Amino acid sequence: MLSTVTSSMGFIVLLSLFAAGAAGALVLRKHDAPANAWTSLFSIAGSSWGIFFALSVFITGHDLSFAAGTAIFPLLSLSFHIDKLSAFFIFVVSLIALFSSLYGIGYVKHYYKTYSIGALGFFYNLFIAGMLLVVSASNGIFFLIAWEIMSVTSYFLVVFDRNDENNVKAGFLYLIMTHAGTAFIILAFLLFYKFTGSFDFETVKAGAALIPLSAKNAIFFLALIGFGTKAGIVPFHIWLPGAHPAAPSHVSALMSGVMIKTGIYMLIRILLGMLQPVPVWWGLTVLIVGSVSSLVGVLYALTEHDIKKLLAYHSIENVGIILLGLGSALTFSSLGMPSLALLGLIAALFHTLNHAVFKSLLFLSSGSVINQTHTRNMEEYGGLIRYMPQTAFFFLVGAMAISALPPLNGFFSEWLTFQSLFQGITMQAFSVKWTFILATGALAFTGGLALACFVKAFGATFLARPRGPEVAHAKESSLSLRAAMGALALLSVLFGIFSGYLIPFFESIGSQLGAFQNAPSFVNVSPGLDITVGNGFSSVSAPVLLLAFAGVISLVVVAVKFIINRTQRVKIGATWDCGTDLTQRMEITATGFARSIILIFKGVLKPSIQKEIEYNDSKSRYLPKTRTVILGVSDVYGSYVYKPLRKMITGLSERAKDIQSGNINAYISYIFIALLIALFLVL
Amino acid sequence: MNIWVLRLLLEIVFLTVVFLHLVKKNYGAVLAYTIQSLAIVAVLFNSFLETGGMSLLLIALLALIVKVILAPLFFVRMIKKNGLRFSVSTYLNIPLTLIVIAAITAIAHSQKLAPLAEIVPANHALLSLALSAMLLSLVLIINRKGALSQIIGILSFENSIIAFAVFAGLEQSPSLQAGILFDLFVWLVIATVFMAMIYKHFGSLDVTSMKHLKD
Amino acid sequence: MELLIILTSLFTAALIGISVRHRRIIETASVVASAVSFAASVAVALKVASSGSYAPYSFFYVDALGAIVMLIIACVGFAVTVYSVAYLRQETAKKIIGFTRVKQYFVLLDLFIAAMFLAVTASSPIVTWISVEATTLSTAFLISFYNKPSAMEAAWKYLIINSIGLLLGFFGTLLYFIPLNPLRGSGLISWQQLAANTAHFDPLIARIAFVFVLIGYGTKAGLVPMHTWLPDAHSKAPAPVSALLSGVLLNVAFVVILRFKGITDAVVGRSFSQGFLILFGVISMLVAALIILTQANYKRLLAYSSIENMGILSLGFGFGGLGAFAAILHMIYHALVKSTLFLSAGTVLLKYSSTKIARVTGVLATLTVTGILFLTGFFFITGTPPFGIFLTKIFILSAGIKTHPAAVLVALFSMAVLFIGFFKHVTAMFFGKKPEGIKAGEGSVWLVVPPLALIAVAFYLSFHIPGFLFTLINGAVSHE
Repeated sequence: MLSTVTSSMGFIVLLSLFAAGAAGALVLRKHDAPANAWTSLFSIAGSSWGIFFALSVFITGHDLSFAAGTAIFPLLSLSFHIDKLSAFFIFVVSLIALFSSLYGIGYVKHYYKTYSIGALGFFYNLFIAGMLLVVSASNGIFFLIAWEIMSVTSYFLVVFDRNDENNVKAGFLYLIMTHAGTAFIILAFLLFYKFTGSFDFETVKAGAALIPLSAKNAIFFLALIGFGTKAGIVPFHIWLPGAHPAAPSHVSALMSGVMIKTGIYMLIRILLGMLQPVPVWWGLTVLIVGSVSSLVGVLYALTEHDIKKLLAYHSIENVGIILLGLGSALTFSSLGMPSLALLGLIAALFHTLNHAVFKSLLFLSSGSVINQTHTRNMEEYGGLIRYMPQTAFFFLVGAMAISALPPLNGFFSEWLTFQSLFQGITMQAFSVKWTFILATGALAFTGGLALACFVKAFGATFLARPRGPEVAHAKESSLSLRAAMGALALLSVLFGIFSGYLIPFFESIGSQLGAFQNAPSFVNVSPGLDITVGNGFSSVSAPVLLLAFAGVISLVVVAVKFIINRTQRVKIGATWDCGTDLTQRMEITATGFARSIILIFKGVLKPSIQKEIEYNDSKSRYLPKTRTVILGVSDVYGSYVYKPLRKMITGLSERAKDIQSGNINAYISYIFIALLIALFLVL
Repeated sequence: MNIWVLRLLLEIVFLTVVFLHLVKKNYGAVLAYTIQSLAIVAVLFNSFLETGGMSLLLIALLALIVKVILAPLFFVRMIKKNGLRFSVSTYLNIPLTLIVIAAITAIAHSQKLAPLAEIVPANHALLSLALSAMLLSLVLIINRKGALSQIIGILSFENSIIAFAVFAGLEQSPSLQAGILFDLFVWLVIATVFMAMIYKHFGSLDVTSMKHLKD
Repeated sequence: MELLIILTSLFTAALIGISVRHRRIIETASVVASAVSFAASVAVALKVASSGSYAPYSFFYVDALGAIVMLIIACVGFAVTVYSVAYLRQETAKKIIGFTRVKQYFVLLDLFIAAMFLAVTASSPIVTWISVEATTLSTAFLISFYNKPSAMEAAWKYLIINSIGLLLGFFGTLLYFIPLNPLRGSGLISWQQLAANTAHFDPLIARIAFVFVLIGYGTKAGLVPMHTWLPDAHSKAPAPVSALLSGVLLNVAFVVILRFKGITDAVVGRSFSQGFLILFGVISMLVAALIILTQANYKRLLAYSSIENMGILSLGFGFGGLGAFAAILHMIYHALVKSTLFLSAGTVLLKYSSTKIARVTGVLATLTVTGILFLTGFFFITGTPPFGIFLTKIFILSAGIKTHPAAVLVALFSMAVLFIGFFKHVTAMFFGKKPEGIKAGEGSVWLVVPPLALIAVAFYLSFHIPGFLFTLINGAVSHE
């Protein structure tokens, strides 16, 4: 039974479900509700099948290799190769797509009549299909086709709400960045072709020894920049905070949760699979890039009050964390320690899965909030827990997971990342040792700041009193939204508690890659789900943590309810001073909360503080009426990297336009000069 | 015909190009072109004398009609109608123009371009001369700002190519030559019409006034 | 026979245009003539595919490459003629042009298409030259069609620069006749005769001749730095004429270069001509991409995009092998898609009455179908998968990476810059709110159908190439 699922037929069925969803959406584009029903139905069916398919590949343990049809064009073959790494990513894509689609059923209703639901469904289904193709294609050109389908369809999803000029701008930046990134990828593949004569990944892998080291180094940088642009590593991340928030929330969940991971997938595939063995400094470079990304990501997240942008910056941070795992895997494999390398890879893959789950959960719940309040500005939220208690709970679970609080899933993958970094610190070589020390520091720092950031995000959104007029009208979201969020929250908990069961799966993925043939495991999982690294170097037990967590929670609840509250009574009356009632103006705002931390990092963030005071009487400046503080951060990458670059190319463009001066005599002289030069080249 | 006569004809072609470079008045330019065309027609007529093919005579007659009669006629009418006695200025002044002419002639006669002149070794000097006439015509188009001068430059370029072809033994069959002449005739009509329209739109024949299409 | 039918029908349509005073009859004659030529071209292409070449009279000779370009001319020509009818009616309705202009337009259009057919089917290089010159002559008045100073300026530059270029090409062509000296005067000398007599050709002369041909016909094909007339002419002509100029005429000129390239290669080997093609290709791509980045006029933008694509063709033929295969495919895609883009741009121009990018916003709101067509065309022409140009670009780059990595690098850079520049302008035009005072709606269905049909064909060819076309492409490549 499973072998029929894991045949080429099974995968083609998977793709055709999404294709049917897309095609039907076009047919039904004139009718909003049927289009929505059709596309959701097929994307849900498709992603369920995808989950089933991926699990079957895991269970049967067979690689699936096949070519769909014979291509008429040379070099291009529509060939697929689905090993466990691909299956894992198919699983992640399908899992998040399933809940996003479920969420979409209810969520897209508010677009009815304003925009074409058919177009949304069309691009949405193609987007998912594109991601599935990306992680399963085994030919460079075919991969690029899939990659661009994914990029272009997601572009159209980003600009879907096209009446908002900011979305169009964000989409523009997104597409040009991804296109520039693709140019780097194309160059990397061309170098593969140059030395191995093929675009087929399997052939390239077999012929990797033919690639000289200098070309390998070039490929490394090209791949890191190309795929890193998609993954959102600093400084190529600039598109991400704009594009992810601009898309409809269930698409943001897919983009932030899954799409950026396709970059990680290809980095694993190329660096750990195809190009082995690699120099040590590659791994160290990835570690440094990961450290910078995680730190910068979380610092910028702190400064945001746009809830979706905040989440987008956290995606940059988490990609950095995944890269820390990947970087240590690369370093260890170059140093000839496959077991340790496997640990790093497990951490990276596990965090990939976890981040997909909790980030999409967070995007979906923020989408619910935005849907009710019609703003993304956290300063206009407040007190939503009273209006949307379930959403608040789901958001809390996601926030705890992303802040790596036990016993949720984020904790375990970050713990594993820490373990692999700790192992690196024990290395002898100076550069290796210190890179790992820096990376560990960065990760520790990031964890702390992320926690602070989500205290801010949750507090400013759900606690205290409403600060905006829209909050009072907020209602709990509809069933499909809550079901999707609830399921993801449940997964966050389950992946945490049963993390021990998942680790062998990740190990088996690694064992298929070139770098880890027959590597003994460095991680032990006891029957009681204790995870132990090395020979008792350190260990963690999910059940114990769960019990401890439950114990602490109940202790706090009991203490608050019966000890602290016992002697207190709620009494409403005039406050002690001038009889002023408590209002939302006395709350701490998100800006206020983050301000002290931002000021600590002002060297990096370059904050700008604008204060405006409006007086009751402009002549006697004693009684201020309102006081506004606008805290912003300057766009460092824009002003120091991209602006000069743009200026340079625009300058070149202006120079080039001088050719077209409008003077016909000059034009003829070009021909004459070209002729003379060509003649003298010949003679 | 004697080779010396041919040589003289070609020298006339060359000299008229040089004259076109120096002339200030439009009538002078038209006159120079007429003389040049006449020399070319004489060269074509020579081919007829050598081979005796009647069709070649026809070609020579056609060339006479188009180049020596019609073209100057069009130009003179144009000049008269619009009172354009002086051609518009040049980029290079006369001494500089002379230096450029000398340089281009030297290039055309140099060893570098010798392979082209060696096509028919007997006509080496003639071919070099025709080649310099070609290059000088191109320079003329570049150097002159007047629309009429540019048109005459192109026609003179075409004449030099014909001269080169004849002496290099690359003449085409009469029917093709007739086709080329027909093309030239249509081109002439169109160019003249355009010139009139340019004068109407821009108030002068100065092509540098047409510089609005940039970027 | 088919070739005679094509030429006769087009000339008849032109005659009808001259003599008849009923607009409907003139329009019908032109449409019928282009439809007939389309059918006849397909017939010729099928014959060439089955027998390798087609030479019904000594005057004509159609090889595989010629057949492909014939198909391009016929296909785009048909679509453009149909579109022209609707387009000119809208312009008449807007009181931009009168009846005499319409008459003149269709006569010149028919002659123009006929000249292009003749250029690729003639067996003699000189007749080819005459025909190419005839395309210049017939389009000169089409470019100055609106009789405005700027249109005059464009037409003048077009006429002068192309005449000089073509004369250089003429001189180069003559030089190719040197080894045939003994055959002089014996009627038409065909391309095959030139190719058959390369043994006695002095290599040095062959090189010089190729330089003249490349510079000369390169002017007509729009290679930088001889391209200067192109943005002016292609932006000032009526949109359907621009479509023919950009989509078809450039290819016709390029095919002539390729024919001479074949002869030259037989004398001096491939690397000589390839080096030149790569050089001009890279320069064309780079300059066009850079200029597009800060372009302010969407028709000029499309014209520069044509220059870039001619650069890609040049690069592909320069790399040879797989590159040549891809370049021929690229030629087909580019012809179809660029025409789509120009026709859609024409519809936009009708609606907005301006070619300035800054004056056009919200096209998706006002002209939904045209907007989608243009966007699709944009993604197609910039080489976004799954459209065919992506593949041809990758193939051309792959063909060059082994031998000319630097050229590939510059080409890739140019493609990225071009995408960014083009996309910037597309974003500005197509999104946003529709301006006040402009009504939504396409105007006429015949403004939509021709571009739609062209891009549909291009889309179909991205996934499947019919057998006969595949044979033709391979036949054309084998001569490369």
